[in-house]
Amino acid sequence: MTEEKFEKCIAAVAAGDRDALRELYEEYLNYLYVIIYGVVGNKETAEDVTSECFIRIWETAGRYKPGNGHKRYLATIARNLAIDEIRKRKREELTDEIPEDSAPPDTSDHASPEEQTIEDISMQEALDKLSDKEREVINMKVLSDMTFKEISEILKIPMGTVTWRYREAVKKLRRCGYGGLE
Amino acid sequence: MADSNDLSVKLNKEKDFTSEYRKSVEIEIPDLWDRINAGIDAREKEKQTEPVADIVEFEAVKKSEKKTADSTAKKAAKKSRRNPSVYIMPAVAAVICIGIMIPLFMRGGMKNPSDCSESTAPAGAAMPQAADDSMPMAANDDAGGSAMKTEEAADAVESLDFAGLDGDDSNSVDTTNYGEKGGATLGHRNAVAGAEHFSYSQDGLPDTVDGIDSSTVFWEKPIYSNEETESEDMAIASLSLVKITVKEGTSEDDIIKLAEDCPETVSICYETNDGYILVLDRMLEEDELKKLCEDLKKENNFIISAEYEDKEE
Repeated sequence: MTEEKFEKCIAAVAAGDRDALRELYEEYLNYLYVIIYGVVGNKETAEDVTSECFIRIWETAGRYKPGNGHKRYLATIARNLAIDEIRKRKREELTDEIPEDSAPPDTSDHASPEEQTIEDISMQEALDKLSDKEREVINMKVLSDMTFKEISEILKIPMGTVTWRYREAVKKLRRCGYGGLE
Repeated sequence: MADSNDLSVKLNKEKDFTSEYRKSVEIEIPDLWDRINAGIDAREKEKQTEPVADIVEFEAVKKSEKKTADSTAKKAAKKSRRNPSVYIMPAVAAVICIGIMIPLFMRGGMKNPSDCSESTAPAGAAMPQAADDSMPMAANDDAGGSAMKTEEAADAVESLDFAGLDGDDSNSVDTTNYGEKGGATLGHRNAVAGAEHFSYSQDGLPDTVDGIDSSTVFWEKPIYSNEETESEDMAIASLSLVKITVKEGTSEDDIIKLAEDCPETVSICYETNDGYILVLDRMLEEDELKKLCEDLKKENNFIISAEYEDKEE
């Protein structure tokens, strides 16, 4: 959607036109869902937050100021809501005592690459080889397109740790035949 | 490892993780329109029901009181006719208050456009919050003790209030620590991060207004940097890393000196939970990395261990 079209659409949304919101929904659902999923990492939560995102767009349409890029505007709403969700979840969750850098043992990683042919490894299998913490970083980096700095802020871990986990994840994915991350 | 990479090359099967992963996530997206519609309906209903309830209640009260209050109302009306000051004085006081408060709010809002901490709303929602934040300061700095009553006192408060903010466009708590955006000169530390507008929430996560300009709060800045790194993530992705763990009590100055004296040029040094990561300025071969780790351990007695990343190719 071009900037001009978006501006007309958002103005219509601000005036109470649900069809205009529907148009935005059709156009940007995938885009926003992927960003949100990358942060929250969970399908059900991503659906909730995505719905909330469009409701928020409806409510704040009148405050949109053109000139800064509409995709960025939408992505910011999505990302902010996802961050709020994580913030809420972290407050509710019990923390475990496992130190951050010692990931739970990943026995699947011990299988040598020669034992599996590349074409047999699906995306899900490749992702399963990552630890939870590595997957978290990969999700935020790849799906939500966040910088390492942003990831470290959200996860409250040092940036070096984010960098290291990302590189470890990339290594493992590359062993499974997945590139395109560097 | 070499074998698996040969296999990869032979089969030409290296898949693009980013696009495949995004596609796999997108496939699972359900239709959320009904949910969104229902959510909007619920919100609008909430907004509508409250005022209607008030009106209904008011009407009911009004009707019930009308029957019994006719005579007293007449008397009250007579009294009010005799004493117009009963109505006039409160109105005058209200006008004076409004006349003082509105300019203060506006000045407070204009002086501090980025002083806002509302979560999850992009730019445009800053003004009321900024106004709220500035008001307590004005009240506290009141020289006359009753500044709200006269415009002159209000002006005095304003000048006291904002004197310190001349030329300071940023309300960041840590602007002075972060310095200017962009590159650092050789050996200059702590200057990589940009100094944009920041606000911190109590739990440390970034407050998320001014969203269009992306209020990025820097939790962990590099402790050392010697070059401009605009696209820092891309740089990190293609360079060699060495991870070091150090003895307790090792100072940041020791690490910075290590980075400056390192046989290989260190671009950036980040802190981790148990040590530091040195991002080199190039990709090294495995034997070079191995030698570097050994040299670092030999020359710096505070280093417990030094690891490098295995090269896959």
